[in-house]
Amino acid sequence: MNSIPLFLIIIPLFAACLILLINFLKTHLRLTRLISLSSTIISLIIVGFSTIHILIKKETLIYNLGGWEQPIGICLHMDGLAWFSSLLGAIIALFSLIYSLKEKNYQYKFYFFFLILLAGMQGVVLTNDIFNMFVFFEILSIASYILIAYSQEGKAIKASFNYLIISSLGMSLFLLGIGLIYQGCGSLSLTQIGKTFSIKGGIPPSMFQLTVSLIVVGIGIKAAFIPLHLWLPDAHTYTPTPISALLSGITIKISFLAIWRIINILEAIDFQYLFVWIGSLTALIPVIWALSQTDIKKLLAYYSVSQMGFIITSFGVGSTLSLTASLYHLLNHSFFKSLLFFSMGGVIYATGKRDLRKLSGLFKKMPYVAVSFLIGALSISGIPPFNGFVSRSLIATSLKKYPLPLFLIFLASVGTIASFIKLMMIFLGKERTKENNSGNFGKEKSEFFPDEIKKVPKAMIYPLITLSILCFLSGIFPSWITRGISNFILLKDLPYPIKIYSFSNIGKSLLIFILGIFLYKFITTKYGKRISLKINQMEPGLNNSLLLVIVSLIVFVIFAGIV
Amino acid sequence: MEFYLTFLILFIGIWGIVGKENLIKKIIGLNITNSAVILFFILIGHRRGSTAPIMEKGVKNVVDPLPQALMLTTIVIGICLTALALALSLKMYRKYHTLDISQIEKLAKDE
Amino acid sequence: MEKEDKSEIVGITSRKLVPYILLFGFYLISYGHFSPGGGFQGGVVLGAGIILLCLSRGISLTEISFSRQKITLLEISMITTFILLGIVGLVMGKNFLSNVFLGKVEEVPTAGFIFLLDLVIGLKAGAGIILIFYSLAKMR
Repeated sequence: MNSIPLFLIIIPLFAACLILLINFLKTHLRLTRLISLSSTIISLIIVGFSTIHILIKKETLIYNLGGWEQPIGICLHMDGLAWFSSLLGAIIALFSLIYSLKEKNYQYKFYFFFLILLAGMQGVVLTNDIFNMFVFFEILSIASYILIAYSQEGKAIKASFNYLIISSLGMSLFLLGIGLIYQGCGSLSLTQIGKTFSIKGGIPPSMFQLTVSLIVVGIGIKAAFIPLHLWLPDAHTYTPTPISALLSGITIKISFLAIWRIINILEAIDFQYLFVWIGSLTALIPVIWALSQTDIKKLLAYYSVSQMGFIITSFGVGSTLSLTASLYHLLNHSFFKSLLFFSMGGVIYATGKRDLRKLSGLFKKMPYVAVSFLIGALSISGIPPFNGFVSRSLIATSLKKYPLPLFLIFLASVGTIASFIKLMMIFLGKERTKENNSGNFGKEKSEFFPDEIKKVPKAMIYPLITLSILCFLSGIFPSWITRGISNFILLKDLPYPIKIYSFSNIGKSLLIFILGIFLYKFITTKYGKRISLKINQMEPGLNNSLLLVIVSLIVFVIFAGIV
Repeated sequence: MEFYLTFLILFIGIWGIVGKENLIKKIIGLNITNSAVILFFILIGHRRGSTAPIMEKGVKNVVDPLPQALMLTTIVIGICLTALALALSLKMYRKYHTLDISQIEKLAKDE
Repeated sequence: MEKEDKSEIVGITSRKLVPYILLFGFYLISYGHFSPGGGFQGGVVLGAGIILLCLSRGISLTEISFSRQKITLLEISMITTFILLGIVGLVMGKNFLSNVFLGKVEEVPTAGFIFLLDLVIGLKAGAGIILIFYSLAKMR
């Protein structure tokens, strides 16, 4: 039983090598798809096996690589947090793979890099050695650089290059932090670092703050904190849709969970407090840009950053309720963000267009996609009885002592609703025929007509339906899931019983909805459209993004010293 | 004293990545930053008056071999990143016929 | 890279020098666990030798003897062999990638499991470097 973490990493790697061997002389696409599908299903089954040990018996599975004992060797630990993220990774990867089978004719190299991405994702959270975490991060990053540039158009290659430069700089800073840890305490395994690398243990406070700042900024680039998120909209827009869903749904979460683990081990409480402010700014600022976007996938990518802000704010507060809310929102966000990306991918597959000014009235031709999108939009806006409502109410409850971040999150929620009403208009509205070809947002004439829409294949609809059901289920059993997360994963008890479907929560949600409708009406006026156009032109380039990374590192170090 | 020199190399590398506009110069800056971090690690493991960690007969004081082993892995990762970045810049050059990042951004926005 | 303006001296010298470079690469791989060197370093020297051959004779001539297909096959089989060697440790009851048999460290052919691992890594690294060079040079 102890070798479960090992198999979670080895099986995708071995399947990837098998795919290369098979396709060496002649391309066998059906066998390739079979191998990748079966290895993903086997990973899911293995994570299911480990549920009994981790959740019910509450033990940690430890596996020493090479037989070398702690603290010399590299160990793989699987505790509750690792189980949570492995399960999430396996589920979303399975849905992405099923979605990608019929979408385009992907070559065997796509499946190869997909499996390497999966192996890297499992490796980051399962390992107990900090340098091994760095190596798995690099495996994850290299696979994602290649997958982002897969379609080989100009914008995709530019987005991949941006991401490469910014992320490699971040990883170098992370490595510098690891060097300072090694100099301070002489060991690299996380359990040993927790015991010896602390201010009480003799490390000077300035070196401690510098180390934690370097590590947080280094990994924070991949987790999309506020000044470090400028690579994300381009990178998640121009990739193929299954990879978009995987990157937005899992990879940024896993980077955040790595920061969670390191801050827990090092017990840097001051840093946790700083996250409240970073998180609320992260929730609000991308919404302003997103309200002026016209590309449907770019809008969803901006919302990935914004929802990460919710998760980070809740993590910063530090009480048991807020940590539970953070993990619950992480689960919900994976589900509904993948759902939204898949439905937008279906729209792009069927019509070939990405601009929302030119699309309208698609409800009749693709009813399944439209209903799934509706469920996803209701979830992200926080309308009961779907899952977004539950986690938002929990986050709002846990932020009672911090009025200003709570107000910023409130504004972000209002903006979210306005944007998703705007997106919903591509399904409602009049169907365009050759006679009534008047534009929705102006004088744009449509260039296609309803008889030219392709039919969305069944393999793309099954993940949509399953994810919608999962979104609904995780919204109507809130107390079970909340108690499950806090008891089994965080191993603490919730202090008091929580009532989520109370009148005040539903009332707040209704208020946000009404304000959102007003904001949407304001955006579609002439004045709103002029402001949107101006914001849309402002795109920071690569040099400005890098400058922001360096400036934010300096600001972090200074603020950590003050707090 | 050596630590200050290592940080000087790190700052030169970061200045190369942030301040230069040519794609190839950014990649060179990335390599310099990687080298600075590698030198920092090896400097940590050094002890005065010790010899290289080859276990022959009669060898008493050796330097710490663990950072050297870690840095081999880091060098490999650096090579992979450089190769990938060069391939991406070649593709961008073929499409846009310039190696200047601000011009590429302007051309990509218009298309 | 074609043969138009290559000088004779470069061609003759490199042709005499390349076998020694390859031999040095294999030395670094074999004695890597004991003296400076190791799997990856030896592999890069192997790759550099072949690249020197490409630079002096032209890629089209070098591809006749070190063809792209053979090197791709080498690379793929080496990475599969590495994972299989790790699984050997699992099958024999110990952990993944554990030391299955140990010999005397100074005598190279019986030096133990790490010699096999070094060899596999070295060949794979060399093949990888050569393939990177072929792909980048053909992109133009």
